[in-house]
Amino acid sequence: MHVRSLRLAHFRNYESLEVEFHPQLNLFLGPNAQGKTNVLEALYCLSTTRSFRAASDEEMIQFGREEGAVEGILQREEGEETIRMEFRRSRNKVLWVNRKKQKKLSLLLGRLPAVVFSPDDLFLVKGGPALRRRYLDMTVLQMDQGYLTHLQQYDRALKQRNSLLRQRSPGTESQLAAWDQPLARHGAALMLKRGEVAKRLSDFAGQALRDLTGDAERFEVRYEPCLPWEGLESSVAEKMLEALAGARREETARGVTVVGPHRDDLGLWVNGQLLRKFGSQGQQRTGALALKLAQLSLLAEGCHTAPLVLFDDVMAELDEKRQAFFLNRLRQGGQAFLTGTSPHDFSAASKAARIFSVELGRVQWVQSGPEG
Amino acid sequence: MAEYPPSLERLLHELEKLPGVGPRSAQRLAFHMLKQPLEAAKALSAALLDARTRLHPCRDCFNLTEETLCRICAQATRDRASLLVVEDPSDVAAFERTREYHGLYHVLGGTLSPLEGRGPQDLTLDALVSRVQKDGGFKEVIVATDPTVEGDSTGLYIQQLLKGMPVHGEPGRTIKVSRLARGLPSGGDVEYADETTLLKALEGRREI
Ligand SMILES: Nc1ncnc2c1ncn2[C@@H]1O[C@H](COP(=O)(O)OP(=O)(O)OP(=O)(O)O)[C@@H](O)[C@H]1O
Ligand SMILES: [Mg+2]
Ligand SMILES: [Zn+2]
Repeated sequence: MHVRSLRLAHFRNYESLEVEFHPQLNLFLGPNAQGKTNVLEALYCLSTTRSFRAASDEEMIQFGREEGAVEGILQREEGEETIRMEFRRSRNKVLWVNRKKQKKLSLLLGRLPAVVFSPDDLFLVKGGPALRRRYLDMTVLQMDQGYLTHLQQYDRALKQRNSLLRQRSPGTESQLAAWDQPLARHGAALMLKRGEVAKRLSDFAGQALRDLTGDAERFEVRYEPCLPWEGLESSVAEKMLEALAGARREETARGVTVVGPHRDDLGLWVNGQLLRKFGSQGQQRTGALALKLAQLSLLAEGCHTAPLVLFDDVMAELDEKRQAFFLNRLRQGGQAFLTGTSPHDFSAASKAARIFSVELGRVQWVQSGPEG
Repeated sequence: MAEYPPSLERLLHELEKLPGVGPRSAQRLAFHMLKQPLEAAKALSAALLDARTRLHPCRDCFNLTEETLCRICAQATRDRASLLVVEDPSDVAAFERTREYHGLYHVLGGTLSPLEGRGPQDLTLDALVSRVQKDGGFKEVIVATDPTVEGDSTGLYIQQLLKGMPVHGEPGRTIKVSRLARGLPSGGDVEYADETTLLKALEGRREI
């Protein structure tokens, strides 16, 4: 399966755009701030209904416009499929599949899996736990549609419960108990799924790091929840209820929920050392790459279709050996989209790709690429 | 933004206050009504005023009624041992359409939601407790709040309130509190569930 063409209307700096892609390798070249990343972002919207960098959907609507849209035509084995996402200011976004409006956005998840590689990935290693939870969640979401419900319901229960804790009025005790239950039920479901996926990510990330370092380094990704998560869902929920009861005093004093998967982290260890603290810059960079490669492998295995690879500005950072490694990897995977400022960053790739130049919100074919 | 004459602006402003109505639907509604004969507008405003002045909550169950008691509470044939707790009057209508539930109702007027500043005192929970205590004839209370986090939590809160209350005239027996089975789409509205879904949910209720 691949994305045959993309249409944008009032999306970021694109007034309108229509491009046809190569089924394997697509390369976007152009100076800074011309709209290269914006194209990748649009593709990611077709995959997950959201951006990989914007905090809110509205940021993607062109300045001064009320609405913006991304539409892609996918070539599947069964035939063609059109996916359209419409973003509207201060209103809900709308998903259309084959010109039919869809009630559930979650329908899209996993249909067109995607993995983004970007220089920001370094923050997966260096940054706070929220980024690692997001990485984990975006991996699970694309493989398991049911996960979204738990994620949303957990988040809702958490916000309600925190709001109650902040009120600090007498009589909240009996109400708290009523919020503990949904929090624990959805929380347990999240922890079990995260734990299971983290284990598999760890295997793939370990392999990726061995590939990248020529067997020199050992990488381990550990799921680090605030309470024991293994076992039956009901017993995990039970343990979470106990932990909540135990934290009652602290929670009432601080006015915030301190127990639960909203505090989870992923521990990243290289050769037995915490990568965030003791890794060199290079090791941290390589670790981040390995995490994304692991996501790619896992999604390829779990989604029945090869994920899109969105490679934003990363080639320039890689030495020739690694560039070759990635190209080889991309050849085995699904359709790939690469961006960069100079053709020199793509010595090996440029021969095999369709090349586009990107300038001021315009995209033009420069080279058609090999017969697909 | 005074693109329209003042009276039209005012109409749009009022329409936009309605749930689910944005600027665009407000315009559509307004222009539609303005195309109709004057009689249509008079009929609409009269119906609105009439409904608003005549309707009030039922003394016992808080369903909407023009009398002291709603039609269901006033019906002699209802099964007075069973009480179905719902969020809104529209949920009562949904269960009535199944024609399979013959007991009484209790309308909460929403769910608990600290985020929106809604606590127990903002729902008809005190009335529910005293109804179950004083009336005394109930053997089962079925909580049929929406299958949302708020609906779940409100159900659990009700269960805490009613737990262990005795069934009158049957020493040693306590009231059974059950929750509608989760056959409903998660996050869905009871009101929008079709009849068969509601029926299945009713049959599969479980004790909490
Ligand atoms: N909502 C928006 N409406 C209009 N223009 C926007 C919007 N959001 C971003 N832009 C513009 O898009 C441009 C950035 O595009 P993009 O991030 O794709 O650049 P790029 O080509 O990837 O550059 P770089 O090589 O520096 O990463 C900027 O000029 C920015 O002003
Ligand atoms: Mg960029
Ligand atoms: Zn009544």
